[in-house]
Amino acid sequence: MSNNHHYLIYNAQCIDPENGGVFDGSIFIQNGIIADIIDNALPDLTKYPDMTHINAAQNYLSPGFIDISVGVGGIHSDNFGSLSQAALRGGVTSVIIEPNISPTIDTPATCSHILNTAKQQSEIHVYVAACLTKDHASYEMAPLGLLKQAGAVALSFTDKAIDNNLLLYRSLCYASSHNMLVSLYPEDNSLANNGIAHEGFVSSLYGLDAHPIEAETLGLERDLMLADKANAKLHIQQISTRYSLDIIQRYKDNKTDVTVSCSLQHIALNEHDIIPYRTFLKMRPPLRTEDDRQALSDAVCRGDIDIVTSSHRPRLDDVKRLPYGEAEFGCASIENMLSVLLNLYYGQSEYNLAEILKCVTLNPAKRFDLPAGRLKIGNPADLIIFNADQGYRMTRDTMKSTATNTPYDGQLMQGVVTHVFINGNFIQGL
Amino acid sequence: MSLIEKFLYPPNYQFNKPHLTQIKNLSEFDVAAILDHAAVIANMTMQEKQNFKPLLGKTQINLFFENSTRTLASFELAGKRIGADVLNMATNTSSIKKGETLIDTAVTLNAMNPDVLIVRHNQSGAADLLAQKVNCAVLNAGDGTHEHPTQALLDAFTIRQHFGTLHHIKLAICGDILHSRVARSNIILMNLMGAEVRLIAPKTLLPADIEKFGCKVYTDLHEGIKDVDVIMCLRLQQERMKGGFLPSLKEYYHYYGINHEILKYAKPHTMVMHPGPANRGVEISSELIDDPAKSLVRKQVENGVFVRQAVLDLITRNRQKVSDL
Repeated sequence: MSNNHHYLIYNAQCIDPENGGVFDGSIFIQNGIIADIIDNALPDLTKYPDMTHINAAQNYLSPGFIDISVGVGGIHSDNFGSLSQAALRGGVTSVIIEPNISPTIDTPATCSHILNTAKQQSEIHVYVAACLTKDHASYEMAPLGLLKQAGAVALSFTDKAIDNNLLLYRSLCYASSHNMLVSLYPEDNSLANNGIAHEGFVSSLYGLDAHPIEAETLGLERDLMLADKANAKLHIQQISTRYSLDIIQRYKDNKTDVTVSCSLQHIALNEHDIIPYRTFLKMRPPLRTEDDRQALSDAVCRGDIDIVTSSHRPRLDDVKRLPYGEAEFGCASIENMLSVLLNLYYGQSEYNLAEILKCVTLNPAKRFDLPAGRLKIGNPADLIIFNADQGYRMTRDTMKSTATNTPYDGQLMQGVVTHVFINGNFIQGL
Repeated sequence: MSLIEKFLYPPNYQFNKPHLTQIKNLSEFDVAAILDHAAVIANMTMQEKQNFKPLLGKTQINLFFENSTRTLASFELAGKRIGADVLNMATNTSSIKKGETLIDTAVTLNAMNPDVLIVRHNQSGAADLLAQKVNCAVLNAGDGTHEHPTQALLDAFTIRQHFGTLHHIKLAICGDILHSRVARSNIILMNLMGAEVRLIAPKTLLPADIEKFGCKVYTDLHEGIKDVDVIMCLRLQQERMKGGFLPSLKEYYHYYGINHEILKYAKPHTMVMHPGPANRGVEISSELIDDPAKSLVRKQVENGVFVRQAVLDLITRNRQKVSDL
């Protein structure tokens, strides 16, 4: 990739997540980095004849989004090429791949292999969270130090929980001695009991195995308690209930080094959306009540939930067009990262866009130590420009992802990404 | 218009559902239409007038993914009595064993242009999934722990036959409600028709938020059956019970088993029902289930055929009208 092109983006409403502000300004991109930011939206263009001028037309300009929980790989899923196309639609310029793919990312060799493949196939930045244990199972620790050396930005155990408390505690201790962030999916396996729908009226009415709230909160307490004892850096992923918020806040107040994320789906949808047996909305953890959705959504605004992820789990129809109990978990959602957030918050919240979008820019960048997510001179020029007022109807047949198991099929969406720059390169053909 | 049709289709109402996958999709008029039609068919059968063959030349496929004796036989007989060509798919010898998916099987059968597909499956929602994928009418013969609509209809028919009405009938459903599709369909249907539904079970066998279905929940049998007209026992579904729902069957019978002794706590006219197959000596005593003065179990089986005949007729009639358009 050449970075010879210099760009001047003017007439933009710049979103600066770090300072929590939105201002009319212009951005200079030189040699792949943000060379200058000025708060003059209409500078004298004749002064910069050797730059390509891009009129943002009063649209928003933001650092590219970071999605910290993306599943990919295997026959049921995207390759990095289609993943990056899909990600760009959602305004995502950096992703962290979860390790529970095939093959599991639990050795330095797989880790480097995935990173190299991603580099060749994808336009966006791809990072890897390696597996905390071998085979994504509960019997032995993975070579955590070597995985870090091979480029893993975090250690993760996702979509299920470790069954063995001692192994979890020791892994947390060991990860902590290598100063690595551990990302865990909070669940108590026996209480979850392969439940597929939120325990309540809907699961009872439709005869679906119930997944109680306590399956999450009990697992969460365990993870936090052990991380606190091990003095580890912990990230809790994919919480779904309002009770989890209180538990995490208690540990945050107690100075435990913990952050938390939830998925787009859990702030946009509730248990009733699965009716009648919509398997594209079968996910882990299950969609909860409207009260929970509201509480999580408010917590994102307040910043109590640090990070929002797409929880992108593309699955082909072969494994989705089955009775609800037999269908696989997960949905393809990275394409809707921007539009779901705008649907929920744009113009409807007392918080401005810069504060809201922290959850997909600054916060994940800080927590996972990535050179992204900030509108800052000297940072790599990973930028997106989007029209927040433009609407579109989400349909499966226009998706970029190979697997089109979107939970938002047919819904009206708000916000279209018009331009993307990655490392200062203008990406064509969104 | 024949006498039957006038009776079934009053000028202001027509049964117009394309499928019958769940009671939730029916209105009280739909239920009344089915029960009335079943009553007419029952009368004709009793008078040995067997020339009512509305399904002549139509094909009915029974696709049973779970083992079944009475429901399969009942559907087969119902179809044959009203003239349908009935095909039973034995799933343990078919391609389903070779790993074919439910939808593939359905699409293949659909290509043979059946008029009605009767499905039983161990997964909730299987019948609804099929209904989206085929051109024929789909009739749910039990899907997972979701619904078993024809069972609820035949139960309602039997209660109405015995008591003359469903209004203000007090029905107590007792036993493994958690795993029971029969209970779910019955609760919804009986509430719809103005009956009062009570549930009696230990808490381990009750689904979450079950009181939101509009029923009173009891954990004490004696208290629960006080003043009820009908006690419906459910089979303990031991095949679905892995891990700690009950300490033992003996203890279960001690607290929740229904027998003549327990019936003294109900009304003198209280009747007992069971969707079958029964675990004798677990949820109901052998003597009671066989006592014609107290048990409606045989009536249920007999009425099952009439009700299924009625449903098959109504559903396929409606289909014909849709395709004629």
